[in-house]
Amino acid sequence: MSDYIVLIRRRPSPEVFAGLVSDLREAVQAHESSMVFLHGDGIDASRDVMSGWPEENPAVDWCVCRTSLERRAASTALASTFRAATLVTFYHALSSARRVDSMGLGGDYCFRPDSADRGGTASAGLLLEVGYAPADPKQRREALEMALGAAALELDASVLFHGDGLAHLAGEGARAWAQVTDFGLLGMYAEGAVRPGTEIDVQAVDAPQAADLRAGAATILIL
Amino acid sequence: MAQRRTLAIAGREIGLDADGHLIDPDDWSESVADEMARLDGLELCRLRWWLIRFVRAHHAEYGMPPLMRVAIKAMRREAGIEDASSRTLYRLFPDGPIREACRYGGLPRPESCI
Repeated sequence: MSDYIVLIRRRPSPEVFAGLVSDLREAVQAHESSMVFLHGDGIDASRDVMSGWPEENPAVDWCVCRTSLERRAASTALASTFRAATLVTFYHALSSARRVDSMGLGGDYCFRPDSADRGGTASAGLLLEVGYAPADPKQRREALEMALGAAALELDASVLFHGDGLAHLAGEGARAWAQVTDFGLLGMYAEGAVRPGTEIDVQAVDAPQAADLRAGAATILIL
Repeated sequence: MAQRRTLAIAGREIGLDADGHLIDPDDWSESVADEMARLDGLELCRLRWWLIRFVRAHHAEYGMPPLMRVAIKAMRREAGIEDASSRTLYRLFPDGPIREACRYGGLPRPESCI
């Protein structure tokens, strides 16, 4: 059980990393138990940028997504501080966490050290934000897997595509997202115009409606 | 390097990967599935075949196998098993219903950790 979780899905730049470590340290001290979960391109953070800090904080549960790691096995070795885990591990932990922060591809710095803990659990009203265009099939697939992980555990969750993230709904590989709407697994929203030709039954929302989705979410994960 | 095995069927040698999945999905046929199951000491009954076909259809449509909850809902709706649950699926394939349905269905090992 972790009452504080941070999800890292991108390798932070050196300047962002300094702030990240400082804020992480503060958040970890303020909570009884903490988990850092590296997923997707966040795996790269386990190699160099994060080196040293995990060893100083052995009480933190340092997790790496096993599948993300396997996809990058040729270039990344798992440091002994980290353990291989699954998205089920992450979402189980999220179900009882009181605070969850995220640093994803759709924003440079999404850590929110000054946000107050919300009542209840972090999985009650979970919003996954996708605001980046996938640079390769791995990024496309791993964003989908984050959504399917929440769906597998039947969490009360939705996905909001916006800006460059709308690219996930078009082109090669986009069809995989249709399973989310075809089987009613999660809410799927798109802020802005979806590219013509998409077969995915995503619900279009305008900026005020997207703001309402964010305001109503107990937890936002920036993918 | 992964250790390969082969499956002999109708005078042909079909390659299997280290996890027992077909190396070439085009080698798949219902006879191949039956032979794989026979070697495992398993009979592919009606429900097992339903799951294998459902997983194959889902993979063809979306490029990946279904979530377990999707298969359960579909089994209730399409296979007439109103009380289908994860337990129902694990009774069919105790070593992992979706993964095993992929294997007997000639699909690659699911790569996701979900």
